[in-house]
Amino acid sequence: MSDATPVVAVFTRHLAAYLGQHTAAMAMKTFAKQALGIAPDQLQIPDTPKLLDALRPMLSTLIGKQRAEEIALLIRRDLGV
Amino acid sequence: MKPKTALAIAASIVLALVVADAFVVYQLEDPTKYVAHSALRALAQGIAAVAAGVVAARFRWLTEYVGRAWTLLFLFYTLLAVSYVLNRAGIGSPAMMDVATIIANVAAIGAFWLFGRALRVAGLQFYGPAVVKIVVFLAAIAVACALVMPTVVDVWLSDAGRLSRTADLVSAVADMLTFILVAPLLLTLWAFRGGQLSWVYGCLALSTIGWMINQAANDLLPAVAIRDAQMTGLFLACLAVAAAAFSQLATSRSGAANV
Repeated sequence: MSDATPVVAVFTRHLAAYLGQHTAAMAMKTFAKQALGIAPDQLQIPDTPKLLDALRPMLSTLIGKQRAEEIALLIRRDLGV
Repeated sequence: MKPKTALAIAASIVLALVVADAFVVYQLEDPTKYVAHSALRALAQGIAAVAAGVVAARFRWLTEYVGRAWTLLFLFYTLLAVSYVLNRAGIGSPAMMDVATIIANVAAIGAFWLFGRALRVAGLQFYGPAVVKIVVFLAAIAVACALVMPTVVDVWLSDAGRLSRTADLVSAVADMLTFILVAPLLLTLWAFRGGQLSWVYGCLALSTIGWMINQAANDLLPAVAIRDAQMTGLFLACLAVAAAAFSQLATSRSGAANV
């Protein structure tokens, strides 16, 4: 994985706390492709809002809307978006 | 408190209830024995109902996907506890009990269907090769058929009233379906391994295994062990749901995960 993608590391760290490492990586792959048409290692900081929008329904289904919003805020904070 | 601690506490309560029932309640004379035994069962079901209700409320009942699953589980355990208490107290008509049994079982199927579908609805997939998934499903179907088919046949051949037979049949079919739905729960647990959600699905799967033990006791064990095995299964099913509820609640709290 490229060093140019702290975005992947931040997203994966937050998601893995709930989904586990494997499914967090799978989610990144699935939703990066679905929302942006790219592989996770091509993600850049400006892609963050779109990717968060794509991940939000998944997180809401599994852990509820409120916590999903809080995680989105944490990711934004960590990436300075 | 972490989900691991909640599960350890639930396991301790299961052990305490089993020991209390086997070594204390069983030594009593009726009617005290009858009341104490009923109270222990009702307590376990009540704990599950309250735990499921708290989580359902946290996720705004039917508004959110997780809330819907927990609301149905709350309905199931509440109806189970209330109809059990009314039945043991000699209050309520058989027809009322039968209707409660039917609604409770339909709710249970709905709850486990929603939990079993959660990963797919979230847009994710079970982990592992297709052959493993097929084997897990086939194993669950085989276990469900082996455990429940004798009951289905008994109900089918019984000469009880129409509503009563319908209730028993719905109950048996619900058992079979929820036992089969342990397969997606286990696959979801495996997909989430290492994550907080694995505790939720692990405890839910454990709860279904508790009902399997409860169901298996009648058919597979010698008479002397049936009562203890049934109670162990019931207590495990109820307290595992409480542990799952706590784990689900933990995922919704800020600071739940150390990231």
